[in-house]
Amino acid sequence: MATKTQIEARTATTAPETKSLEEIVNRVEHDSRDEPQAYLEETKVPHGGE
Amino acid sequence: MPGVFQRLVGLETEYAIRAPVPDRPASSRSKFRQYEALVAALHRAVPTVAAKHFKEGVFTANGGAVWFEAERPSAGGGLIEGSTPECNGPREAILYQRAQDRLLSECAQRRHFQLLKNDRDACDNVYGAQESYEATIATGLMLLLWRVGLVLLFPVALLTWIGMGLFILATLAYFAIAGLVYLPYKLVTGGRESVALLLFGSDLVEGRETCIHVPVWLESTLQLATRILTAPLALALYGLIQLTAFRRIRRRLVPHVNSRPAIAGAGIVNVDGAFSISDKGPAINCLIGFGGMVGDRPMFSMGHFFKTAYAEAWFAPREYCDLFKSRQRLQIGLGDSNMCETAEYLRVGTTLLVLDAIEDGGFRHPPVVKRPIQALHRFCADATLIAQHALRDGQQVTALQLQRYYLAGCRAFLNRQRHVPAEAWDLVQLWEQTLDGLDRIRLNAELPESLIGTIDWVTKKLLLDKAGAEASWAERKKIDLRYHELSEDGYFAMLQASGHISRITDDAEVDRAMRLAPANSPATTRGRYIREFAHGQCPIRANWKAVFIGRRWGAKVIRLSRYGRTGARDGRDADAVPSPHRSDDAC
Repeated sequence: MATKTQIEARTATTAPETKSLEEIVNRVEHDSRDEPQAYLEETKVPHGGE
Repeated sequence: MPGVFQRLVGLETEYAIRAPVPDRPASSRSKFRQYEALVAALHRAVPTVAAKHFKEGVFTANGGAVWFEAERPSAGGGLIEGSTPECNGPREAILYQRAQDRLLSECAQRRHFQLLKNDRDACDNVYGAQESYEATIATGLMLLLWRVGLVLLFPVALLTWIGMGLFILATLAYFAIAGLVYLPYKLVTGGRESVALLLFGSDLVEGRETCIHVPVWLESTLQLATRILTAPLALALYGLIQLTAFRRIRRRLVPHVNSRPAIAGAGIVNVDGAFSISDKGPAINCLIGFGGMVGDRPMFSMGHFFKTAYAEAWFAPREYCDLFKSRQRLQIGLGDSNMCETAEYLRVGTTLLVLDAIEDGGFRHPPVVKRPIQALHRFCADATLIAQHALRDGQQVTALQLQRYYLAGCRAFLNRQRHVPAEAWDLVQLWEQTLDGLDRIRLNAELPESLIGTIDWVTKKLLLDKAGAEASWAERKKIDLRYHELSEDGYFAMLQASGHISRITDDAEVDRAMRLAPANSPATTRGRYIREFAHGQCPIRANWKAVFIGRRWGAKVIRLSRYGRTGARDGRDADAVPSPHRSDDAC
């Protein structure tokens, strides 16, 4: 079926980087110390949703 | 309804918007602007059409929808809500959920903001995920009572519609009077923006859609007045639902939904610092409700029946007639926004199987949990999985014991069926393996490696445990929240990029699902019309029930109930847009 639409081409799966779980956990721990309060403010959802 | 995975299922997700805190309190406006920016990016990525709905939204090429959800727009609220198309089976449902996650997060990032797929913010505001399953509302005498009740309720609904109409007239009269007062003031003093905002709200002041249609004070007044006006209809409908709707299903499903956070919880750091295995579970406060009308957070949300009766049927009375059908939408409000595909698959898949078994006559004598909401809170608060709760017969059970009961019942149900899709057996096997893994937590008090990257609360708990006891509440909460951020900096995304997350879908099929609708579903036809007409000259709008092609009164209406599974099975829907198939015909 011919359509009038243009659909963007995308690349498929990318190979995962190989980092150990320990490395990721350390990265998370380090990042969590970076201005946590600001992050909490930025992600507030006043009054919530359904 | 006989069979396995023969019902439609759809998932709704409210995504939090991560945005820099504004200098002045105009966050609601900026959130709506972000929604508009996201829709603009969406429109460049895939064909989209405006939703014909009382809520601001668009439908996309795959038959799903994106909405701006705001409980109190002028007070700073605002979320992006995504609804998957109607799907067949759990794998398809999570495939479309993943397609939605990726499409929305990519579009948001193109506009320089991020989305979070979670259920509660740092201030305990609740939002998140809901599941809708096609199910039989009642049979026999109960169905008759449901229908008689709807007939008796109709005059109340009619009076409510008249009242709503009067509210709109009163609001218009207010704007006319306010205009007459403000005009001379503006001529004499030049006018002040603050006064104009106080009188008219930002839509009129800015001269464009801001989603704040009335001033802040008027929004609160109208919201209160609407609640009072709709209270008689709400109360009567609530009574009718409590008495007749999904009674058998509710009774047999509650213990499963109660214990389901063990396999599908996303985990949360609560405001008191304690860890719960479910993000949303601790916020649930009733079994049935309309979802937020009076502060209720129900396990089974019946808000869609209420919205149909007081709002949707007002614009299209036919919607009221649809309430008489025996097959309706059962909405489960207790479900976490999962990042792990396996957890999401188990959440939807096990519930579908339990529903199939119940409608086949299974689980006739389920374990009846005493005070189910209390049981839910107790199970959610216990990451060691040893907490027990009393059944009505006095027996004490754990969440895992309840899950084992349902697993055994579903296996017995599948053994009774003549045709069982291979996916159902795979799901049962995965369910059992997961319960075995969770049993190791109960017995050894250690997080098993096999569940890291498959169950969200286990994965999140690992990150929190590694952060150590010395981490502040804010740091722990950041780990909790950023786990759900849909960007390469999100903690789950980092784990996934490094190959530590189990996948059920693959990127290529997710990519396809972003653009094409599922087969054998009302979404098949909706998506096809959207792809065909979205960039044409003729206006097109859509909703869950129909597609509207053409201008206002002359629009052609294609009702999607005609193009459900039956139509698709005989091949008619699979390859062609049903007539009218040319935009010129409709215009």
